[in-house]
Amino acid sequence: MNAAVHNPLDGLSSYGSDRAWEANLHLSYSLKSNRTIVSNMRFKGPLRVQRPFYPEQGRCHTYLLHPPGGMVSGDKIDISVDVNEGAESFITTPSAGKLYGADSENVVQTQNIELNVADNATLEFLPQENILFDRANGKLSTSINLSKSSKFIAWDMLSFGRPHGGYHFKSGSLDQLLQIKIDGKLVLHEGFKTDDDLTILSSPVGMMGHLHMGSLFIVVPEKIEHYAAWTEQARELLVNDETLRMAATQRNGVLMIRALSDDIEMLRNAFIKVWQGLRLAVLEQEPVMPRIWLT
Amino acid sequence: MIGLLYLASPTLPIGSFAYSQGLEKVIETERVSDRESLRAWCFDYIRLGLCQLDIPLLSKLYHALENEDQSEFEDLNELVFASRETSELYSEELNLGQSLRRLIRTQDAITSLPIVMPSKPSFLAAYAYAAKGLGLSINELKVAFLWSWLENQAAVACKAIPLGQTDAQSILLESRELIERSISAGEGEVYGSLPGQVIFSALHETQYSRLFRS
Repeated sequence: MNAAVHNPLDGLSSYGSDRAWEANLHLSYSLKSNRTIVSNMRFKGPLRVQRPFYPEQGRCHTYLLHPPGGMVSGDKIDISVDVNEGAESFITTPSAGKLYGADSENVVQTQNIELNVADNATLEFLPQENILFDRANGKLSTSINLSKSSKFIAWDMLSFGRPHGGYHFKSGSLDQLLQIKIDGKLVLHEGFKTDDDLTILSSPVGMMGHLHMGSLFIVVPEKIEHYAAWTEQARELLVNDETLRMAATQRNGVLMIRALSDDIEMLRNAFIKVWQGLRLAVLEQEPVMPRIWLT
Repeated sequence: MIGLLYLASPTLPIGSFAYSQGLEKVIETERVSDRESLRAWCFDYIRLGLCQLDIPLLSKLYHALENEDQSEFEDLNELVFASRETSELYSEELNLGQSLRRLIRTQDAITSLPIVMPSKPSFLAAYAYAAKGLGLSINELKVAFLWSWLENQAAVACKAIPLGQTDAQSILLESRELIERSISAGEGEVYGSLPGQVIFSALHETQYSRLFRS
């Protein structure tokens, strides 16, 4: 993509129905003498990672980068992460993912994320939100495969438009699937799909007129007896008012915090607060705020 | 016909009257407070939720029974539980599934099928089994499910708002076209996550004063 030639936020144009810009990134983390290293990395297209760094002992912190900054029609991003036995990985992104308006042929924009966490391994996957711009036609899927002895914290945030920048989502579609398996057993299946007239965005059963939604997941199967206490602890940290609605629950081995908001900053900060409040109990590790979350 | 009426009846002795699926919390917040808001809640729930999730799952379960595909039936049963996104919705699925399995065992009129019910049957799996065992068609199964779901929500509204029977039940007659359309819902990938309903259902867990178990 050449941003100088075509600004995806401008009017309709076509990339052609056969355009397929594929980008993929595979990362493996392994434990090597008390330190988690990136043991394998393969990429194609514009996806990159910044050099891993170590702000807390052996835990490997990584920032995922997508330099073009967004997806247009025909783009397909595949990210897969393996956290091998005993490794500890923290992954975030420095900027929001963006799904720009689809071209005149309405070709789908696809993102697939696969996260595999092995025995005694830990993954925190805490990216910035995905933003759907007007006329986006997104298909997002996340597949998470855990073991009974892995530890996992993740969140997923989604914005319909970016109202602060004056970009409103008025039409378009989203199809989003998320699955979590523990030792191959499916424990969570979430499928969110917009209807043709976008009633789901305004309906009280759907997004209740809020533009942003998020889910935070905690899965530590070996500590399932603590879930009830963690849920209580999380509830103490939740906000519930007109601009941010949150709720916590746990079932089938997964603890979840759900949020709907009029303001993505508020939503993100609320999730960070929950993460800070629970990390010590869940991972036995004090929370260390990544610098990019502070800016 | 008798099988359909039996399975659609709100008096089917499995205890579904004890569950509101978050509606009790919605009513507490006054988002549903009269006939119109009740209809909007229920019809959006059917169209955006049940038609994307429960109806395709019932269809797939019914086909697995028809094809005598035990492992498909068990995978779908797991998928039903995996798609119940709050503690109360999960427990409801579990408890009603167990009650309905017990009922199926005691009723000779429900024919035994060559599929073995999973040890932890979901309500949907047991419901599809009962429908097949009573000789219902797949469309009759869907109508029975949607009708009893809607009748139950109307009953919740009567008790929790409270709303008069006549107003609450008006949504049943008004649902005709929607139900007819709903039975043709596709059978592809399963969606139907409802962010608002899920938040209300999770908040219901800590609702101070409650009549219902979900």
